[in-house]
Formats: sequence, structure tokens, C-alpha cells
Amino acid sequence: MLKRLNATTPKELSRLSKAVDRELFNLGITFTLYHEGSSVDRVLPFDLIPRVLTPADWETIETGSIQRVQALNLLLADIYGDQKVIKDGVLPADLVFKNPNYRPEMVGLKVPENSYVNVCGVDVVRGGDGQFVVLEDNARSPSGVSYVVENRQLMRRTMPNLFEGMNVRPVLDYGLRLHQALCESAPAGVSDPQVVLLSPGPFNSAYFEHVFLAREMGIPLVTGQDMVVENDKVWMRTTGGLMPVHVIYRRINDDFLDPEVFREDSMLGVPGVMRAYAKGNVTIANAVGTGVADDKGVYAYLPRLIKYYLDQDAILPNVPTNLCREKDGLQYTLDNLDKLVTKPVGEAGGYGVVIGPRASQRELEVTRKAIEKDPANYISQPMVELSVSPTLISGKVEPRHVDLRPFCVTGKSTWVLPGGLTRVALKKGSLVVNSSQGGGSKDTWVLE
Amino acid sequence: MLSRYAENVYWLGRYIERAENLARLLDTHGSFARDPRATGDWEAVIRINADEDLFFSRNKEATAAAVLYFYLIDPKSPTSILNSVGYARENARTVRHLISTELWAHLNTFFGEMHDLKRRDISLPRLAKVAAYIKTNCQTHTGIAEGTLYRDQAYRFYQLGRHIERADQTSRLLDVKYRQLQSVEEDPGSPIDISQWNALLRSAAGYQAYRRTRPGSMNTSDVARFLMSDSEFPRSIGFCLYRIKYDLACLESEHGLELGDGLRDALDRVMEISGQTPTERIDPAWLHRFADAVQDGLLGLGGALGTRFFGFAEAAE
Repeated sequence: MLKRLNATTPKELSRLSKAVDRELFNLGITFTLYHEGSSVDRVLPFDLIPRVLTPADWETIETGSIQRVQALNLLLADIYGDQKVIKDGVLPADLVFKNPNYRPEMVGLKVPENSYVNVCGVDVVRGGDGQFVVLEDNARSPSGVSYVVENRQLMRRTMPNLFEGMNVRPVLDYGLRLHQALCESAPAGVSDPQVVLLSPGPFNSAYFEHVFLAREMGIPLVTGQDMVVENDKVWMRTTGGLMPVHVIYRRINDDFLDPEVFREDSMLGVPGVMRAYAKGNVTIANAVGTGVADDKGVYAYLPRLIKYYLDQDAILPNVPTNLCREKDGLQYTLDNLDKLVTKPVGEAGGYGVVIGPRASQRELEVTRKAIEKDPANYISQPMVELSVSPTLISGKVEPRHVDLRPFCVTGKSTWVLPGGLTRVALKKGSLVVNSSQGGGSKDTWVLE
Repeated sequence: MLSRYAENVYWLGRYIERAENLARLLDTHGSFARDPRATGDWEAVIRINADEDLFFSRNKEATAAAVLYFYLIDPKSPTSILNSVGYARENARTVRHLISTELWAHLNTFFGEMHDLKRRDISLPRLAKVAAYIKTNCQTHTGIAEGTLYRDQAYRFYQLGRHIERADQTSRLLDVKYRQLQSVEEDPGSPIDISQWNALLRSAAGYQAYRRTRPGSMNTSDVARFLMSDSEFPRSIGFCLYRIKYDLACLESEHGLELGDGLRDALDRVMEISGQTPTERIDPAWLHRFADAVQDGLLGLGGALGTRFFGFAEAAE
């Protein structure tokens, strides 16, 4: 592959790269940024040099991801069932019951196959020692899979010669696999389930992905207003009248699902859908209330939870995490504040995160006081070094930091899409791979 | 098929047709305007679209430049071609999984290019070029749709949108232009008469067909009859209504959708109105009433479609 890349001049690579960006834009493979009342369609910059994973690398990621998804599903069945994990003292009760994403409505509600997390995105990075570690689990509505498939199609069109004799594992069957898993999770007794994808609508920044998935699965892409609940069953409005709906693959948050139960002002949801759900007449995927299992607080316990539920050691380790709610963790954190990254457990989106090596003396003192006041609300982690991958920058190949999000699809069993979304920080030295902050993506090759 | 999708493809068909008709109208107007600085001609375009209030709230005079900006690329004018193409794109985006990638990619590119047009690109001397560009793209869209759209309900609703809009546009064109033609009827065969008569037919791309099928005829009543009811000309009101009837019948026979009395009545009403074509000389006042009645009838038909298929359906048996 390197030889073939070398045979392409930098000028040619730049030209191809520009052509790819234009193609992405024309095909509408874009996300929408809203800024001061106006909206701009942006493409996620695509890097022409694929990231290659060996079969051995992949086996670790694949088996490790499946193990985590199993543990998450067992945990959720337990939290909304017998709550043994709390009674046995493995997981502190307040991490569950004080979590804003804990949904009491789910207690006692049976989920087919105990598959709460039908789609899980496990964010993985490779550290300085070459080992893969998990940054976080995304068990609500992980996005990005459309780019994995579209990137592969683009790559095949743009540089077909790179693939010759390479045995790259395919990704194009994602839609079929997901549809199959969702059908497996349909309410009992439904032989030919009608699956729909529930989207907030065309103005959502991830609408392209919703379209993509509905198309790949061959299912209707619906919004809340297309559905209605009658007699505790869910129906969709069609030109021929109301038709039954059995599985809702939803890409809206719990909060917006049902104005009768959650946010009253939600215009995106379906009034009464939780009633139908509780009666077992419809499957919601991912299940309601999975957010309790994927936050920072529970994340820290996942290695122990894997041991507890599966009696196995974690194949993919966490970033070593010190729990300030525990005596040793608190002491270590306070002794090494200037070297560690500290994070409040209950916050999302990077809010309240203090990066020790870059913080001022005053910031560290403020953090110290906050931790001493409420230790249970804090965790700390060492700075993680992200591995780099060769990336095309202005016609030259340079190292840039990357992460990886493999996608795990679960019905009766779990399947992992070989590859996943590789995001790359295009700015030199940057560790931020987010699309809104100068991140791009790469095709990810898993070799056979 | 989801009711909302049916509505989206219907509007996709309508907006593209609207954009194409407006481009035709502006183009013929531009090339036949006797004096580009005179305001009279360009006001007619505003009247066709019933945009007098909106236009004159922002412009003092209907100059060529102001009218062209308003109808081609004004983002604040709901009837501008830019917005029609934009609305078509939004509708297509909603039903993107129902239409081909080619249809979407073309429309997305077309909108992107329309969006980049500046005032200097649409000045009167460049009008022919920009109108040709818009027409070609609308026709490319139609061609891709014809060649790639899956022939399910969506296709029928798309065609219904197209033909309802086309019939409506032809009736508007007739109404306004006919008045101008009549004002010069006293001097038949004069250069002005012929050029206006030409302009009307060319707006509707019917010049060649008219000459071929009515050799020697040069009177305005014949031109009006041609655009009202010629059964072979794809832009005549009669032809469009025939297509609408056919597509509704297909929804019923091929897709098992019941039309219901409301929709059937609305169709009958508009077909009855358009059927009354006098054989003698057509009076402009009569034609104006005719055009109004056709537009009302089409409005009723669109409303009935909405009630029957796009709105709140009853529970399935």
C-alpha cells in the first residue's frame, strides 16, 4: 500500500483530496453547523491515507468491545431489575439513583433479549505503550457510522488501486446487520416487524446519517408527527391509513421521546409511546435509560462490573481512573493534582475538566477545595497520549493524532463492524478530533 | 407510504416546475421587452405571480434589474427561483432515502450554484444565459427523475405536483399575456402583435407545435385555445388535467388507495371548468374569469389531495 501511495505524486494526492471534498459536498454528506441564526453545511474533511489495523489489533478491539457491551446490558437489566449489583456493594447506589439519566419508568419493564444497548460506540485510543484503552462508552445514540460506510465508498472510487490484493474486511453490510438485530429485538410474537427510524427531522445536524441508515435498512424515516399511539399501540400515518410500528430505532434523546412522561414541551416525540413500550407492544432502541450506564462515574467501575457479571478481566482496559470517593483514589489525586486530569462525574461535554499540567496554581487550588468538599463527584486520570497516523497535510504526509469508534450492534448476539470511525485531529499537535473543531476522518481498514 | 413523504415529493414536483416556468417567463419577457427601461412590461411579471404588494413594499419601480433580482435570486422573496429550488431541495432532503442519489446530488449542486449567483450575473444582458441555465437544470432534474425514480406511490405524487403546478402556471401566463395581446388586436399582424403572440407561445415552449398544428392561424383566440385545451401539447391546461386524472387513477388501481368523494369532486370540478372552451373569439374579461376559476379549482384539488393523503388518516381496518 505504501508503495502505491508513494507512486502517487503529492500534487496528484492534493488534487484527489480536493475532488473528494467536492464530491462529499455535492452528495450532501454533510453535517450542519448553526451559527448566529444561519446554518452552514460542512463536510467532514476526509483524509486519503487509510488507517490500517492488523488482525491481531482488531481481535483485541472486537472481543473487548463485545465484552463491554455484554457487561453494559447485564448492568442495565440489573439496575432496572433486581439491583443486585447495588445490594452486593459493587456499584454505589447514588451513582445510579442520583444520575439524571436514570429512568425510574424502566424499573420492571422487560426489554426483549435484555438488549438495552442495541448500538454502542466504544471510543478507543492507542496509548504510548501501544495498548488500546477505552475513553468512553456511548450507549445512548452514538453517531458517525454513516461516515464509515461513505468513506469506504469514496476511497474505492478515488484510489481503487490501493485495495488490490489487500483483503480489507467489508463494512457495507452495516444496514443489513442493524436491521436484523432490530428485528431480533422486536416485541414477542411479531413475525414480520415494521422497523422505523425516528429522527428529529431535516434540521438536525446528523440528518444525513438518519437518511443514510433508513435507506440502508430500507425502513421509513419518521418524525414524531408521523406516529400516533392508539390502544397502547404505535401506528404511523400513511397514504393508505394507519399502519402498525413494532420497533423504533430512535435518534432522539430520552427527554424528547414522550411528552406525556418526559419533557412536556417536546415536539419531537410521540405522546403515549411509553405506554405502548411498558405494555411490550413496541421496542425502543436503544432502550430508554441506557444513559445511566455510560457516564463517567459508572465508566470507572466497568472493569469491576465485567468481573462481577462475566467473571472475566477487561480485554480493553479503561484509562486508569482514580475514584475520589475511595480513600486511596482521593489521596493519590490530591497528591498529584498537577499531573492528572480531573473531571466532575455529573457533568457532560468537557465541562469542569481540569488538565493538571496546563492549569495555573490558582486553578489547582480551586479544584483541590472542590474535590475535598465533594470527593464523590470527582475522578482523576493520567494524561492520555494518543497515537498518530500518517495524514495528508497540504500535499505532505505528517503525523496526526487519531482515535477510533467501533460500532457494536446487538440483537440476540453482538456483532462489531470491522473498522469503525477513525477521527483525526488535523491541527498539528492537537488532541481534539471533534468535527466542529478541525477534526477530519479516515477510512479504517481491518485486514483479514 | 408515509403521508408526509407523499406531501414532500408532491412539493418537490411543484417547486421545480414553478422554477422552470418562472425562468421561461422571465426569459421570453427579457428577449421581447420593447424597451428595457420601460416599467410596463416588467410589471406584468409581478401581476402574473400576484406579488404586487410584496414587490412594491420594497421597490419603488418595477425596473428590469429590480424584477430580475426579486424573481431570480432574492433570498427574501418567497417566490424567487432561488427559493423555489431551495424548497425543492429541502423537500428532496426529507425524502432522500426514497429518491436516487443522482436526483439528490444534482439538485444539491443546482441549489449550490444558484446560491452563488450575484447581482451582476443576472443583469438583463445576461438574462438569456441564466434563464437557459435554470431551464436546463430543471429539465435535467426532470430527466433524472424520469430515468431513476422508482415507480411507486411517490412517483405518482411527484407527477401530481408537477402537473398541478404546470396547469396553474399556464393559466396565469394566459391571463396576463392575453390582456396585453388584446390591447394590440386592433392592428393584427403588426410587428408588436406578432412579437407578443410569439412571446406567449415561447414562454410555454409551444411556438413550434402551434405553427405546425395551426398553419396560417395568427389570431390570439387560437393561441389561447391552444394553451387552454390542446390535447397533445404537454403544457396546456387540458393536457395537465388529463395527466392529473391519470395519476390519480393509478393511485387507485395500482396502489389500492381510495380517492374518496372529496377528491373526486374536486377533480370533476376543475375538469368541468377547463372544458368550457368557446369556439368563437375569446374575450379578455372571459379569459380572466376562466383563469381565476381554473386557479381556484386547482387550489381545491390540492386541498383535497392534502385532506385525503397528506393529513390525518383514519385507522386502518
